[in-house]
Amino acid sequence: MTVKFFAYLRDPDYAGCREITWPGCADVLQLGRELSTRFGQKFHDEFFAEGETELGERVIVMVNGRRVEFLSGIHTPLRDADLIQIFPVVAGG
Amino acid sequence: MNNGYVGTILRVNLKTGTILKEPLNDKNADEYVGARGLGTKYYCDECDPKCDPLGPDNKLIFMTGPLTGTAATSAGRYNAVAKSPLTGTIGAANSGGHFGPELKYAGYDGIIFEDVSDHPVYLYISDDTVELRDATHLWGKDVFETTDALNEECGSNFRIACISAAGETGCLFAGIMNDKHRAAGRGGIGAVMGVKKLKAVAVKGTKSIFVAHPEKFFEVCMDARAKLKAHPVTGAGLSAYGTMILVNIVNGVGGMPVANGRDGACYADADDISGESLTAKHLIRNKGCFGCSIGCGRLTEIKSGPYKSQGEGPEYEAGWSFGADCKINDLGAVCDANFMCNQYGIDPITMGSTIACAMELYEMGAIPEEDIGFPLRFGDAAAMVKATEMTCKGEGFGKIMGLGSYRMAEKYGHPELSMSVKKQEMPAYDGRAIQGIGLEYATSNRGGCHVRGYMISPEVLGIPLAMDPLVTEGKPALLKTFQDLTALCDATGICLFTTFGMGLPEIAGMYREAVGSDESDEEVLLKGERIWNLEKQFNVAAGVEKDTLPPRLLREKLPNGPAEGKVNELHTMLKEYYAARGWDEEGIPTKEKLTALKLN
Ligand code: SF4
Repeated sequence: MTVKFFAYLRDPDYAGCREITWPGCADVLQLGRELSTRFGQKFHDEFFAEGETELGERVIVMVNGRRVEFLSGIHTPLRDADLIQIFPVVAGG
Repeated sequence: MNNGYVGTILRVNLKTGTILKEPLNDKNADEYVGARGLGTKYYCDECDPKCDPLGPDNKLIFMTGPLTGTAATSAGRYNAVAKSPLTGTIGAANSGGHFGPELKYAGYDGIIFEDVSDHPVYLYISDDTVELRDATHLWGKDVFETTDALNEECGSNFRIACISAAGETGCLFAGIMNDKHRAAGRGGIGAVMGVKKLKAVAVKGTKSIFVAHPEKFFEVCMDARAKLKAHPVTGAGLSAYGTMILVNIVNGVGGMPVANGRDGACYADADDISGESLTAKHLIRNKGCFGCSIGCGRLTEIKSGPYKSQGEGPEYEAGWSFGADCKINDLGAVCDANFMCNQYGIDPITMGSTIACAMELYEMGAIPEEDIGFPLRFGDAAAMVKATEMTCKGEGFGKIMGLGSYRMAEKYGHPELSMSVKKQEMPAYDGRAIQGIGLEYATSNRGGCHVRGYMISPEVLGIPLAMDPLVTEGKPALLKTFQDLTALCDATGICLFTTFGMGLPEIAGMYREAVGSDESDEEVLLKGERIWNLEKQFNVAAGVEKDTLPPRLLREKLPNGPAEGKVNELHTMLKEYYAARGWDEEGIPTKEKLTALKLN
């Protein structure tokens, strides 16, 4: 699957890249854990709320252009062909 | 006065040259708050809704709000109100910077310009000294030249609001620019100023604004500021990346129109024109308006190449209109076109969207090349920049583009390809992928507009709550509340962007302590609803067309992306929306509703 990062999540403190290809993960929860192992605690704390029961308040995760809140949340299943986009909360107009 | 207002309105008759200082109408100020609301109330009381927007009977009103220029957060706003020559609706255009506060420091809540002058003039205001001065030497100058010349003439500490040649020669989307880069941009209010031969207003003030409960006011303002600081968007995101940060996320949900919406709403090159790219390659520093801790403005530079230039912006809307909508992935070209819009004082949303419409018409053979003078294809950055320049300067085909996309497309037999509502171009979100924004465009009181409710907040950004962009449920009622809140926010004189980090309790709190009111939050919000209904009443009396969307959004299914196959479900939402508003099925405010809002 392809995972894309945006805004400050591209900074070295977090993912340190724009995009990464990641081998199969069962769901968003597993992906978040694996990415956290790779990128470190700061990324983990941004991605997850405490206890890893839900996404952190400051992050938006989309699977194929749909926010996971409208799919199955953190348990949204993933397939190899999926595009996962991870944004910090942003706004403008 | 000790209530946020300074108590005086200037009335300037441009034909006779008389200048009167009138007491502020306190009852109207109480009921319509200020800026967009109070300006519209004065306008509706004094002008015929059927008047010619480019005729002498269309008055032009500059109005501040009770919070403008105070310690309230981001309180640098004023509104310019007139009947819009682009849409025929009431046109209230909102601008930040420092001009609004300066007008209040000079002792005036607002200015009403009547009739037309027989020669170019500008209004000079230095506290109690108010004069109409000859502006023949400024006529034809652009915004930067005019501002510099007036700062030289009047003093470097004067704040200038002005038009350029685009406003003078009737570009229907010319705006009024203040502090060089801040725009009362939409609806062609600058063309109204141009017809009046009013080149500029130069103002300097040294007085103070007093509020009803200074200590409590300071307290609620500090609380509001703390709330904005603590929020990830208003405390960090907007200042770090500016509004262009929206490019990737809106594109991510498949909601950023491409090629006039013809090619769907997923732009493959979005990252090239994103806030991330702008920040990495072109940002010099960020810039804020009066009293704003957010500072979303951008000072940017294209250091080399054909588009070498420096200026402010672009904002997300301009990034889209010159970028994805024209299929341009060259950020230098996008910035250059946007800088030109500032320099010549025209609305970049309508400009880019009109070029995109012309590109579609050109590619299908509806506009002959000899009319334009060169090939105008999607993806051709040089042609896009050239088309912008021609319109800014009113040259050749630029005169036709200066009428906006609807009138241009109508001339070439395809009005349905104008991506506009009530003849004003819709901004950077596709109503097929984001259902609520489609309803917002259709029902906006000034034609296609995103800042009359901003449904993108819940539908894409998840603020204050996440709503699925693909569904219609719950959208009409929420939009009504958002529209009323936006009207209230605009009327107080604070920036709409504050609502990403705070809400009604903070806005109503600052308003109450400034004006000395004990109304509840709901009673304060009702003033926003009153303003919305007043605007609607005007539009109905003016004979403005009904609420709808371009056929493309209602019938052409999105060809790709997360919203593939979707059209906008306007018919479903509109009924529910009118019911939530207490209007009849045709969308006309009922007698009962108007009575409840003290509007008849
Ligand atoms: S948020 Fe941006 S537009 Fe609003 S007042 Fe602040 S700097 Fe100006």
